Amino acid sequence: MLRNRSLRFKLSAFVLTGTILVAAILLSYYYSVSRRLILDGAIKNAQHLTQETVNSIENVFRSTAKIPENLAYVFETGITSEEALYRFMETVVEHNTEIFGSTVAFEPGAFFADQRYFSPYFYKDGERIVHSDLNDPGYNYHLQDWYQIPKVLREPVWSEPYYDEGGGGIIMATYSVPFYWPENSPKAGEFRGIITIDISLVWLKEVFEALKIYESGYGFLLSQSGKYLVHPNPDNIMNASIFDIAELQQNEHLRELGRKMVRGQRGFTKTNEPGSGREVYLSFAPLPSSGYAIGIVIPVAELFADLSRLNRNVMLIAVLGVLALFGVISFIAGRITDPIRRLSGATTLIGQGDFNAPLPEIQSNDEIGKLTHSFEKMQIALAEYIENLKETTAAKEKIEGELRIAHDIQMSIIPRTFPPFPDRSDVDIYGIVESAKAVGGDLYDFFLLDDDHLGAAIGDVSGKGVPASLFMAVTRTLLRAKSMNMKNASPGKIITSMDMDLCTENDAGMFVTFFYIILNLKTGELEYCNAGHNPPFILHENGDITALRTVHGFPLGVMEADP
Amino acid sequence: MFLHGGTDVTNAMWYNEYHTILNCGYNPDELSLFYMADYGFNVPEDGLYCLQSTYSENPDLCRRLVEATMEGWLYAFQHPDEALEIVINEMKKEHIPANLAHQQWMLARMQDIIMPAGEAKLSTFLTRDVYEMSGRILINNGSITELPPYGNFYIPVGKYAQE
Repeated sequence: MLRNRSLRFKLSAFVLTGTILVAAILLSYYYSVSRRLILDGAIKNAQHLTQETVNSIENVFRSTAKIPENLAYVFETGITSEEALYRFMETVVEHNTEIFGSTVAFEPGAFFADQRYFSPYFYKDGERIVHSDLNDPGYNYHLQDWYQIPKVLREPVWSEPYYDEGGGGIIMATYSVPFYWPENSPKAGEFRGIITIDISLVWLKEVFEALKIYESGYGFLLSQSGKYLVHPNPDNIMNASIFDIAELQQNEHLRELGRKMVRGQRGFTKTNEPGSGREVYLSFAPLPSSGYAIGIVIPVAELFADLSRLNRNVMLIAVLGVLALFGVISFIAGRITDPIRRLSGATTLIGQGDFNAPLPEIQSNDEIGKLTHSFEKMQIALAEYIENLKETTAAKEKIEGELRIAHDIQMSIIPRTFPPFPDRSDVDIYGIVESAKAVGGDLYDFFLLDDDHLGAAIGDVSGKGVPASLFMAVTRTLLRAKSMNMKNASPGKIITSMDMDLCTENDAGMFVTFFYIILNLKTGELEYCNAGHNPPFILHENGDITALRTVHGFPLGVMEADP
Repeated sequence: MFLHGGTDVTNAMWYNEYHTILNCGYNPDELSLFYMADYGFNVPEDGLYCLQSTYSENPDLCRRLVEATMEGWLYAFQHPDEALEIVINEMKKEHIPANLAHQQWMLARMQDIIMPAGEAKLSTFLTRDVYEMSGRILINNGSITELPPYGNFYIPVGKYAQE
């Protein structure tokens, strides 16, 4: 993929990839560390906020609880008259703004010996304090939770919250404190009755509304049984418990969280908000005095909103930075590779044969400069070489032309017209010379000595080329001359005579094998002499071929034969 | 009281208080359950009662009331969402804690009890065996001293009163 790309592209690609990789590693490390730091901070903040809320609510519950606890102490140390009790109760309700009503409920016969039910109840009706008695046998307060539970447990109990009787939609809770017979009575220490106060829990809502938790975080409050007392969704308040919501949404995790909360545990966990399903962190803690539990909900997205924004900006800067870097690298790579590109263009021209193509002018003395200088030298050397080559080729061509002419001349001294004696039917002859080079030392010849005698010869000069061809021309010329001059001489004589001439002044030390015949056309007799030539063959009438192995002597030009 | 740890044992209707306990955060495996039916106390509950004279004077009205009651149940089982919506809206109007999960549970369990899965019909019929078994339990624990004859106590009324 990269192979066909330019150097500039490759350089940019590698540097940019490396830079992006380093930037990505840096960014993700930075992001994860920041995230952890933010989360750590958020956990601390949430726990702090949770504890602060717990404390502010507990303060109210505790101080309110003190009132019936003090009342119990007063009853245990001795209020005996009905009148004093009424006056005392009325004062308590009147002077404590947070108290809506209060009752003192006695065991059967525990105040008036003959009364099964005695439970005066004082409550606010507008500005007035009203008094009634819960002594309706049909109601049978002895069996009511607010009475029975603290009696059995022998400790004060906050009730499950409930709507006020008046139908005003006010959430109330009752705090019931058991009290016992005084020390100095016969029943000392035995259970005598319950003192209750009813308080409105409306203020709880305000405590939670005052919480500011990021954009849409919030707090909620659960009763002992997990019922929502404060929640952003009014439909849940007093209607559903966290377990009901978990059941409706089949959310086991929520149920488990609810169990932890109503069991008085504290914690910080990630979960999905019921309904919306968005990811949230939940910090929860118990309200020890009432057994209620509070939860603080922090949306994860909002917790990391700043970080996400920061991350987006950093990413943007990174992208712009990479783009700028790309520009710079591209520019630098261009500066570096431009001379190479120009050199490459020039070399292409040289490759195409233009040895005078101008090379780019390189001022620098770096690798590119050195390469260009080397190229320059090579260019000059190449031009010289080509010049030499041209001259040599011209010379060679000239020689070859001369050789061609020499060849033609050589061929022209050998009879090449066939049939050579068209007007004769008693004899026919054929010959061919194929030289290894343009000219050579092979030869043959034939001629009529007179009407009845045909002379024919075949020879081969030692060596090849021009010297051999010259020697061949001399040999042939000698043969013709001797044959014409020495009429009726035998082939042996003629060859001996030729040998003498050839040996004279033969400084080059050349020789020629030679076979010469004279055929009597009338009689068919054939005289021959073989001077070192290959054995000739005879084709007999019956088709047999036999070699004529007789050799009469050395090749011609080696040494003078005796005449 | 039970939830506050004041008592170790409590009785609860399966279709009602049992669910309340579950949705106060107790898991079933944290409770030991004893079903009355497993101990021979499978006693019917919630009959429709009237004076003898009312029935003799208005037999048709009584029949229609019984049939309408059963058809109401049938409709509620067939349209649980609509039934729950009606109940929840009424509860909200009256400022009674309107707990959808609880109402849903109760309706489903009522269906399990009076029209178990697989049984296509509702029956209002009180069998003599069940009547006499319930009577014996009441006599044995001293709640009553004698059991009225079956025919005096129960008259099958309407088209659903079939065994």
